[in-house]
Amino acid sequence: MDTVRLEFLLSRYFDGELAPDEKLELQAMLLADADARRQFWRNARLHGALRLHGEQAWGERAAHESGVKIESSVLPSRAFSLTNISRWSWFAIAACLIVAVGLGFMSLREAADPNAEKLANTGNVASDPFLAIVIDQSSDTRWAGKDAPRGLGHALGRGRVRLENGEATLQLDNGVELQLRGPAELEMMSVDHGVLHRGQISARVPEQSIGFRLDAPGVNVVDLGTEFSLAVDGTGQPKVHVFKGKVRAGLPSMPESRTELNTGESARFDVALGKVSRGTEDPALFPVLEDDALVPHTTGDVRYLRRAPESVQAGTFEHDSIMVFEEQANIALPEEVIVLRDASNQQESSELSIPELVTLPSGTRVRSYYVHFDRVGRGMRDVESKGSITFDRPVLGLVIPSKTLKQTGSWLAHAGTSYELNGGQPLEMRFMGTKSHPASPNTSGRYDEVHLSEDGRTVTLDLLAGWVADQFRVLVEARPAQ
Amino acid sequence: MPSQDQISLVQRLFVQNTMALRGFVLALMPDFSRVDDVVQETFLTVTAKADDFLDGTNFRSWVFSIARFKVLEALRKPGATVLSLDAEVIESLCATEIEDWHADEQLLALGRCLDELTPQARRAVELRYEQAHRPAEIAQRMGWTVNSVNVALARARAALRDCVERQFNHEVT
Repeated sequence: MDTVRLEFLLSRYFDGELAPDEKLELQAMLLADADARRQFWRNARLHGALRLHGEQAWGERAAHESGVKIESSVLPSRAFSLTNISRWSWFAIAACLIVAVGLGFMSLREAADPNAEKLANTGNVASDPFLAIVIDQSSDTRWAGKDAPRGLGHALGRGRVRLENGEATLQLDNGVELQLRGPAELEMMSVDHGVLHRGQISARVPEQSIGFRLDAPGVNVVDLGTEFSLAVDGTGQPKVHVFKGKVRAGLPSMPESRTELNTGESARFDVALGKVSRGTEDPALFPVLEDDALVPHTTGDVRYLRRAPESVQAGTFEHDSIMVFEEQANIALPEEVIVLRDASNQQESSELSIPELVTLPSGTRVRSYYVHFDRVGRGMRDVESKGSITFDRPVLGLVIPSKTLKQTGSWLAHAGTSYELNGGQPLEMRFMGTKSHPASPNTSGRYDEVHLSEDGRTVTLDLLAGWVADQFRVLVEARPAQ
Repeated sequence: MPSQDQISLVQRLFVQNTMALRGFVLALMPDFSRVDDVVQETFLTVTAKADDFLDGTNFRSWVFSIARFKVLEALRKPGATVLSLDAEVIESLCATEIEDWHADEQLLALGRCLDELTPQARRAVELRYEQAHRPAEIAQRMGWTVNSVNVALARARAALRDCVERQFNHEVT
């Protein structure tokens, strides 16, 4: 046996560099000689150990860069036996840890994301330059302008956008929902402040965002805890209507014009004459914000899309929000499906925790939701996004492993959506992994977590996206037929 | 359906052996990105077949044999075989008696041995195993030729392997 040649070929193999003829040569050596096979395992053990060590070092470095202090005694690189693994999370997922998805996927992503290099090291969601996501839009919607969102699921940041036709619902990062009706021009100054230059808009402001301000040319409207609407046409007389709660509105040039409007009240502001007329306005002027208790409620970085997007392929979206959409409203599973489920939140537990597998029998009626998290760019740093989504009925289980994701995709995938493919496989999250820091999930920069609340209706997400998009399904009990 | 006690037993043993299992799969699948898929699938199969495992027998041998099937299954997928060995070679390798891999001790030794590398060699190893870069990317980042990177990695691995084995043997004896 030519040991020097064997070493050379093994080295090429472990670096993924074998040429076809070298592969044949190595395989012949391995098949022919037991010593060559033993040498293979000798080198393989080191290769495996180096990768494991590298993963831990990367996690340690990520934690250090994020300013998190990690007790050295809990770092796996120094303490590796089971008794020293501080805790396992049943849904700890190495989506970012196993960084390389393959050059094919990386190329795909770069091609789809021309800003990849520019945005490569954006780091985390705090650097996401966008203020709002389009969570719904009518089929006749037409956006225009260089800062305009590209459609459903896309984002908009500071700047002026034109909605030439249709209606769109935007969700701002502070939880404010805006219903914009075209033709309209909206300029977002910040997450707390927008200017409607023309068109009609309604705003629903959650309690934590009271003080949200929406201006029309010559008019300020400040929310005092409410749902209100603003209509701007070419007459120079913006109109304000309060659906619920209270706003303070006025002409900034005339402090005495400032007035408070309460539920059901309207006012018209004549900017040229400096005159405020309270009265009744045509309700048709003001877009209606949908208030459906059956729509899942989200918090944090999670956005619920009211309809399925055209694509969830890698690089489609240019923001770092976790998006969820309904794929099927009520469907009977044609085969049994193994799902992952857990009824307890293990965040603070130091106990060994293992995924609970549940078999949903064939015929189980489910509503299917798809979770998609794909960060901007493909730099070295992971992006972490967190939040929760609460459904009106109990979650039956989560479909995470690639095999089950693929199995269920044939029945549950939304017909109008193009899903992620990577070498014929959907991308997915990973559900086994170690935690290297007990108190701060994901601060190692390595694992994703999904937890179910005790009542089974709220899914809490703490996801890290590296080069791999996190994607999985949530199966919820179907609503009874009406 | 296996009993809950039996499922708990095999899952607990699985967790205890995950590191060695990942090392085993890494050896057979040089593409880092596919390793966790196989580990996941192995976990599901181990759980489903929990009744097949007899307490007191060699769990690692059992789980490795399941993982081997999962590797072969993964390699049958389109585009998966480019970097990997053919199925008959993997079967042959797995038929070879493999020394028990003490992953935790080896990792501790590896940490010490890495300190003995030259700064440049250490950098190349970090880019390969920490950042998951391929030699061409490493060459670009370090301003080297790809061939120089290949040589540096091969030498570094040989030095590390000898150092780890030396340290490990020393600790064992």
